[in-house]
Amino acid sequence: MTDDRARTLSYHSVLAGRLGFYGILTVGVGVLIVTGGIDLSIGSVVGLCAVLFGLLLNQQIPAWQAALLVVALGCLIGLIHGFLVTQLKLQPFLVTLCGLFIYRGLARGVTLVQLGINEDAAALKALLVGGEGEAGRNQLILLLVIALAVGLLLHFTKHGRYLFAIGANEAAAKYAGIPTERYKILAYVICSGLAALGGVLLLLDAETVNPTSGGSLLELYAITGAVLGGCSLRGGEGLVPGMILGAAVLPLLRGVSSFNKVPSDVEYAVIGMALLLGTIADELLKRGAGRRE
Amino acid sequence: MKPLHWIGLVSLLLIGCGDGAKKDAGPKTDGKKPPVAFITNNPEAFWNIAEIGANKAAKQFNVDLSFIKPSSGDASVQKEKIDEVLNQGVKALAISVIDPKNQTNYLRSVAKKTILLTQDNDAPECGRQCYIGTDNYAAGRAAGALVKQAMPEGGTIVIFVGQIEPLNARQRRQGVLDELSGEKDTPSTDGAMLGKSQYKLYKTFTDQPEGATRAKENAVQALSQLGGEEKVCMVGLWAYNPPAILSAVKDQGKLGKIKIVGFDEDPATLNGIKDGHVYGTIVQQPHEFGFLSVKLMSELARGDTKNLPKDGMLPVPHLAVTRDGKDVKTTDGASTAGREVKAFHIELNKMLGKE
Repeated sequence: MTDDRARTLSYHSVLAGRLGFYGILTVGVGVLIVTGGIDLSIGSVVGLCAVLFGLLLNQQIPAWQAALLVVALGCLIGLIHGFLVTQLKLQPFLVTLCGLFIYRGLARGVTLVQLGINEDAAALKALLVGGEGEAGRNQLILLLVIALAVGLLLHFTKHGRYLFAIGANEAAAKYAGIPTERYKILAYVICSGLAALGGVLLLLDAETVNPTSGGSLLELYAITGAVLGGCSLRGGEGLVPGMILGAAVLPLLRGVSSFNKVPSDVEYAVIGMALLLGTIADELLKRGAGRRE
Repeated sequence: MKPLHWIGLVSLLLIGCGDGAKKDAGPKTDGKKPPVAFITNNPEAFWNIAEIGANKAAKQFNVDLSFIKPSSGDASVQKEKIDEVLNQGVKALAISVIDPKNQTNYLRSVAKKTILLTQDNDAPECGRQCYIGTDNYAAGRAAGALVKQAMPEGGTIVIFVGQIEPLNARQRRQGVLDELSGEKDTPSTDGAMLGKSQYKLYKTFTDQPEGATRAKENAVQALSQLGGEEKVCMVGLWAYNPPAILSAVKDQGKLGKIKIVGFDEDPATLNGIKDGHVYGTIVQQPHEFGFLSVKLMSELARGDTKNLPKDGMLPVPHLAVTRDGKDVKTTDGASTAGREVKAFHIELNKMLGKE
């Protein structure tokens, strides 16, 4: 399993950058999944926020302010999702699926041209993503900072315990006096806020975003990462370090198939098969362990 | 967290398997075979023909080729692929640029690390050594000339394309409009007459990200909106557009009444020309994109620059495929070589190994 080219610092920087980017989205949706929620609109939020960030930069708004505005918008989107789910009792799947269409449509509606970044954003890029030759590795540091904050909230505070309790049994949590609605809204805000940050990173890293395709499918990568990392889609289970490891699986698998010259036409199939085989092996092993006990 | 362990194990196994296979072909073990890469701008079938040409050149000129089709037409997805092959130490790289304006800065940093060529879609300022591909504006003008042949007395044209942002889409559309109006830089206002000509642009329909399915819906919509009009020519600028138009026209029972002009060599388009339902199509020569790019990369990677064009442009001529196969002249004096559809289709199938 040796390939010297995979051991270079520059390749590790590439991997670090990707892990950082996917990890931020995964941690966001992971918190939501812990509470029993789901968000299918992540990719479209990333796309819309990347486009809006580009438009704000075009208006000569300082990059920092533009990024903050965009993240605030992401939080607002999360707030709306949370409100619709908790107050109108709509299904999260449906609310965020509608979001998927709405935000993609808005991204294309506000502009049809591909947007880039300006010189002002270069400094922000150097800080959040990485300077020239650093292959975006600072995104990993950003992920670790975010993961630390989310991990502390989730695993070391009463708020975290409440979030888990809601995911495990919402009715019981409610009877125990937990303001479940407020905490669920918080989870949606975290998820969409981090997706908006993902949009900022996407534009800073690629220096271009296409309103039509920017960020598409990212919700599936994020959800897959969270589930691989130990989150249960039924809610109530999950660990932040697991989410980070889960987020690393897809970029790693892609790297592996690229080094092995897997034809790009079948890359999806190879990745899907590797994921499926891993899951089957895990399930069989669990059953075996169960029998022995 | 347990599934992770297993996925890790499977990944390691994959690496192991790949290594075994690589021993006889890998760039590391064979110093004479420089590693080069060809990266497309989307995964469409169009690129299969380029891949055949590229593989042929890789064999002939002894290079280790990675032919990569990113999973979507998004620049950030393409960037991941470029970063990967750069880290694998490719000696030369040929890219179909998605967003010339905003990718230029990044591509400049790529050009510092390896020999960079652009193909299919250019970014002239990115430090690339050469562009290999179609002159899309001229190809658009040739399509415009086909519209004039199909509908000489004037009428309404409707344009269909995936997205209007990419350079090739913009240049093709402008070429069509300019050829019809007889003027340069014709404005593309919906519903307006084109210059002083007898041609009117109804609208430009776009269909991405859904693609072909939406393209057909668009064509159906256009047909119902233009129900009363007699003289209509529908122009499809991307490979899947002409088949989508043809299918919609067929569904509505308007075959023969609506004129169709297209781009590229989808089998449905070629069959439509044979049946007389499509007037003609402008084809690029993707096989040559692949072949010439890899040939030039093999030379440059070995330090041989004698075939590098001085102006950094290696145009691949486009062709006009029609029933009669006549050459097509445009009002700016240019001429496009014509091909007879049956002979062209047989040749193409032979290349794709279908016959």
